[in-house]
Amino acid sequence: MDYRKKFLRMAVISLAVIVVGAVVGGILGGFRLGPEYAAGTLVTIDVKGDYDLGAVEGAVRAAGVPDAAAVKAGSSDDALTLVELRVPGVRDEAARKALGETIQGAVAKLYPRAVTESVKPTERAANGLALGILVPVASLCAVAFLYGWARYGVFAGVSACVAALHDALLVLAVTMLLRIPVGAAYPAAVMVALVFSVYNSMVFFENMREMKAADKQAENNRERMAAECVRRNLPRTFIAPALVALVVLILALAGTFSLLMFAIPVFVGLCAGIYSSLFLTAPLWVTLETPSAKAKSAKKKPAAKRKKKK
Amino acid sequence: MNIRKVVAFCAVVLLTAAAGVVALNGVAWGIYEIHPFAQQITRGGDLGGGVAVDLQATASSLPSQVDGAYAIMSSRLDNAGYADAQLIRVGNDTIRAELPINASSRQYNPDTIAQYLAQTGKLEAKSPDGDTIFTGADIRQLYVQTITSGSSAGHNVVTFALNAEATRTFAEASAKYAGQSVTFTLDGTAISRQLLPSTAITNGTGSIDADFTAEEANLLAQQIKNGMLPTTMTVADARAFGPMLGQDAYSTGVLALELILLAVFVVLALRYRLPGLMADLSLLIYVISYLFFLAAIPGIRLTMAGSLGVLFSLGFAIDTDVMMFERMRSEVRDGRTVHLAIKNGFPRAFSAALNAQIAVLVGAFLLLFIGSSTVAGFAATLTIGLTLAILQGLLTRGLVDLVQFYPVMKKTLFVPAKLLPAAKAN
Repeated sequence: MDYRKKFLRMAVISLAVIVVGAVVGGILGGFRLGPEYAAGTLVTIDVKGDYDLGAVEGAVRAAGVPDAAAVKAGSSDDALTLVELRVPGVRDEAARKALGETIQGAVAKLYPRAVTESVKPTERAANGLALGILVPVASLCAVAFLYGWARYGVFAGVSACVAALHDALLVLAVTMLLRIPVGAAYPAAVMVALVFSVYNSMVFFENMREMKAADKQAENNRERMAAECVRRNLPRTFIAPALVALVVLILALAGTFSLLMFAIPVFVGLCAGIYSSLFLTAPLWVTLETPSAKAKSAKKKPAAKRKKKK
Repeated sequence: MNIRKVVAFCAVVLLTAAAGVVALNGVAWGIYEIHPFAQQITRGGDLGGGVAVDLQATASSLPSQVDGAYAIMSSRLDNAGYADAQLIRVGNDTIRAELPINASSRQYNPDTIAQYLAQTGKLEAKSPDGDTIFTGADIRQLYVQTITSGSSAGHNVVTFALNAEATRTFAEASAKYAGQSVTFTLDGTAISRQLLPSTAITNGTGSIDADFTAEEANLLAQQIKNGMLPTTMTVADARAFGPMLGQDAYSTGVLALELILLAVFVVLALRYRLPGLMADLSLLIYVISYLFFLAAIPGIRLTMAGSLGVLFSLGFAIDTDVMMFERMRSEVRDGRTVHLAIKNGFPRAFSAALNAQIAVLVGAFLLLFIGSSTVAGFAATLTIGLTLAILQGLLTRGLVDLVQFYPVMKKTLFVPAKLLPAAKAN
């Protein structure tokens, strides 16, 4: 198995997804921001009784308002008879009025007594999405690099850092590519990918260190050992993501549209973490650790010259 | 047979069972009552709902004043422990605060917080003649303390220190009005009087004592610290809202986790036999203690992001056990005895898991301080969970060691017979 080629092949696949995501995102105006991060409209409808939030959300989406995030409201916890729908992006007064009518019509089909209480413009609730993601990503990548470097050498640090960055970028790219609405909890979904990546990288390097200590020919067997290490860790690589994915999947299937939209980046993060653990960290580390043929010959030449002189 | 090990093991099982009963059902003993742990975990707005308060500015307010009020309210919420509350501008004159105050909350009622947000927060110290001696803007330092002795013992007071200029003014006023009282007003309403001593107060310190509860004293201190609102705001509307991620998101999530954990317990026991059962026991202790800490640590509010931290920690804890058991099986496969496989294999596998967990722990700890409220929520549960996961790994090791109390115990209780050389199988 040629690890350099393997690494390049896998890196190209990831890079392609990241670039396509960035290009598509760029063309379509960046992230599709949810109501927390974008100004928009708040429509409040009094349903005049108990109602099914999922059904209302579905009806509103079917009426051509796909980004509406609905929440129950009311005078007390026992009387949540209002539905509040936040729709990002609608700023114009006429568009807002039309939106109110569309939503009212959709809800009234399910609950004929429903009446619109108010349609108001809203500003974004949260600021600094970019910083909110960039700073934690940079911090975790720095931790991956420094911890990897301190414990297992500089190339381990670089590999762990690249893998973590790769996973975060992949989540961001897929979010843009699939036009997933970015809600308040989105930065946590990105962190999922990074945390999992750092964890797996460190397990790999610790196993490699142990294998190297037991093998006198470690320098020559680096590729074989890395492959063996990945193979040995393969089943357990899925344990933590499977647990997270199963719970989130059940929640997403039983919950609201917002929950489903949160679940997708989490899944992407977990998949990216598994992908980088299996196909990127180890090959990159082997590639960096193993001197290239050129470097080897460059090292040999002076030694050969010295021998000739003698 | 090692009696000490048998007794220790039985004690662990009994204590776990007792803790499990308390965690699930709670317990009442005289005036003391412990509620089920899961019920005591405070939930954020996305999982537990909350209260939305609409604060309206007066008609004459300028947009810049509403912006200023928004910024100050945001600081007030952060300082009052509601960094995860959402503050939204609705229309030109309204600020909507979505507070995660729901049935699971233990502190503050929504009215107190609404008033805390809406109050202009103009503090003034007035002389007996009604002249202003200093205002909240002149206070450079303040903190809340509970008086422990004297006639005011038990009172929560806001103690302040003034800047140099106000210290001079206060010294002059205290000399002039010695033996009389200074009145502290908040937005024009008298809230407290301080009797001036017979000698001038030259160090610029004093305290506001109005028989506050600890909560009221803290909120007043935060209000003064964050400065006064640039415009008058009134509470226009307050209403409850349901969990943003769905009415049943929390209960569904808990049920899903319980079922998945049950499946994990069965798989661990079937694949790893006696050590698997010990891992189940240790994971049970882990879950109970995790619930306890989530319920007991003040300021922790479980949100969807925080739930991810919980799930990951649990996943890492299970992963540690699996790593140790797989290593044990691998050692046995290489021809070592079960005892040696446990003795040598466990520390090596644990070391790998420990290193990975420490790396993540360092990252999570960093995120606690630099992350947004969402990321910090994730980091908080991850930090608690990983710390416990490290201890859980050690506990599994200890428990597996403990069940080797019977010297002639069948080795097939630890590993399948097919992994053992024929002679060693029993």
